[in-house]
Amino acid sequence: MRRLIALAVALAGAAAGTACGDTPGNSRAAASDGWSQQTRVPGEYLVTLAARADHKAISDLYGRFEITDIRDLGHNVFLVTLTDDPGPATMEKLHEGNVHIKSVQPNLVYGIRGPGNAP
Amino acid sequence: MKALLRLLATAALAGAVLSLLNQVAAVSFAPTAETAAVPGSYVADEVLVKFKPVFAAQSRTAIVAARGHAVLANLNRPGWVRVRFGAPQTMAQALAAYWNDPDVEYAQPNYIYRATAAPNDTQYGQLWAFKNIGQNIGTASYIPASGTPGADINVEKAWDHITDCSSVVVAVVDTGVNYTQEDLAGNMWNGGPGFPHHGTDFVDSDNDPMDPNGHGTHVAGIIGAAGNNAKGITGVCWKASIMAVRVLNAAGIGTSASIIQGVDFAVSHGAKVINMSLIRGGDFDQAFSSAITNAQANDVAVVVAAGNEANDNDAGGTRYPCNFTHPNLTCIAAFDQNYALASFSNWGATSVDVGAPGTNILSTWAGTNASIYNTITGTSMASAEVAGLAAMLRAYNPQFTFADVVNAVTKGGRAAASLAGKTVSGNAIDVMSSLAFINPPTGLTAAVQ
Repeated sequence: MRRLIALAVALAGAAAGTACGDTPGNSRAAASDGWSQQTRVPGEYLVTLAARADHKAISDLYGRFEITDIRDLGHNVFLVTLTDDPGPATMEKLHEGNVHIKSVQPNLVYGIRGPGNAP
Repeated sequence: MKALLRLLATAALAGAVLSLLNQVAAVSFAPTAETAAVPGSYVADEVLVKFKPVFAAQSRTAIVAARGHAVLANLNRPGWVRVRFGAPQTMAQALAAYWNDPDVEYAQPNYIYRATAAPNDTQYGQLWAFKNIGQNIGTASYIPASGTPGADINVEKAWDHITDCSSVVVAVVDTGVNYTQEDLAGNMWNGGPGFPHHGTDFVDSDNDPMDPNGHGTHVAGIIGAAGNNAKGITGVCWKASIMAVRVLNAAGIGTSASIIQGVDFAVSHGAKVINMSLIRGGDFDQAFSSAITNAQANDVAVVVAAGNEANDNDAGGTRYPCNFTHPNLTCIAAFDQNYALASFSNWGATSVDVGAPGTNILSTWAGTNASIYNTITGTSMASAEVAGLAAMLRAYNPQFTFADVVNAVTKGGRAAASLAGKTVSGNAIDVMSSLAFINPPTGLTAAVQ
């Protein structure tokens, strides 16, 4: 249910033509963040660790944003949920130079999108 | 329907005439228990009669009329006419009357012939994508609702060779699948005790991928609704092994996280074809791309929809997964019933590979009624047809790699004017041609001596 609510928030933002992710803490990133123009789940990021890296590296780097969940999706990819979303640009900037984290990206939203919004 | 009936009648007549050509020394027909026991093996109230050469058409008509019958047509063979006798006479009585007539050389029923591979599914006549005879789609929401005969995926000829694709697991990564629907229940993946509902669910994080939306069920039916079972529709494959992987919620929305889990699940549980009729506009999705790469490493063919925004995916903004460049991924545009590019279909000269029918497609649907069907439109439907073809190719050629499948789908298609310059191949899929497609040999050398 929590994820559904988050999705609804993200979609509502997209439908309104605004930057997504109006959760506490992310407004500072919205203005200059390319990802912000795209539908994403606020506060959720996919973090890919380098080979043999410990997932503790995620907490070390992003713990400051109040991590509420880290879920192993396999293939060194983790779904990280934050309470205080700094925005994708900040998340990316922070991992630069970190040998344990290979990449970070927003959890993006996909849909079936039929013609005229029909299924 | 009228057009279909006319076609069947014409085919029956043509078949009867052809059979006559092969019966130069035929003996008189006598109704047998076998023919009498097979209702529908001939037109119930018609006979074909050959009069002796001395009778002109006018005389033949008069002789027939004297029996209370009517000449429906003079066949394009000397002396042959098609006669309707009608009730209350039986076939045996009508034939006996003509056999005993000294003016008649021969009489027989007007046998009904059917294409050997056309299935008996009750709504097959609405599946224009499989057999386009210019029929009107009664439940259409997209105009035109009828189209050009022959503008279809040419699957009936392929069904003479293969209808059973169940050796190839096809994952439908979508809103789930209504696995109790009457045309799907028997064609679902056997997931064993670990996955008793034929798949899994990354939206609710359980193992029940029941579809509350309908989209995934529709896609599944196009790929592999049970064929020739006298119910509903058929899929490209009459028998299939559909793995339901739910990654989109009831509103048809999902995330990178759910989708990559879905793709990984499909790959690790043996799927060799994945259909993903979903899309997103925006920047490159690295995590999703990595999942497709993993599928490639495991020799899995991935089929995706081009999208429904009338967008040029090359120049008008990228659409993923369509714009991924993996060699195991094929992206599909949609045709209407005239094989024009559908008004909503995305395209892309470098990103979209081929086209397939995508408007007014009837297929299975979600709901508690086991016999529920629906007609919808979109590149999602076109993608599903190609996924069905991919499964058929792999079932027919178990040694095929994903590269063989992609080659056969794209290069084995036929040129479509509406796709020229708008897709990589410019081709519409053609199931029979893809089935017969042979990769040209490579690495051959010849020495002239």
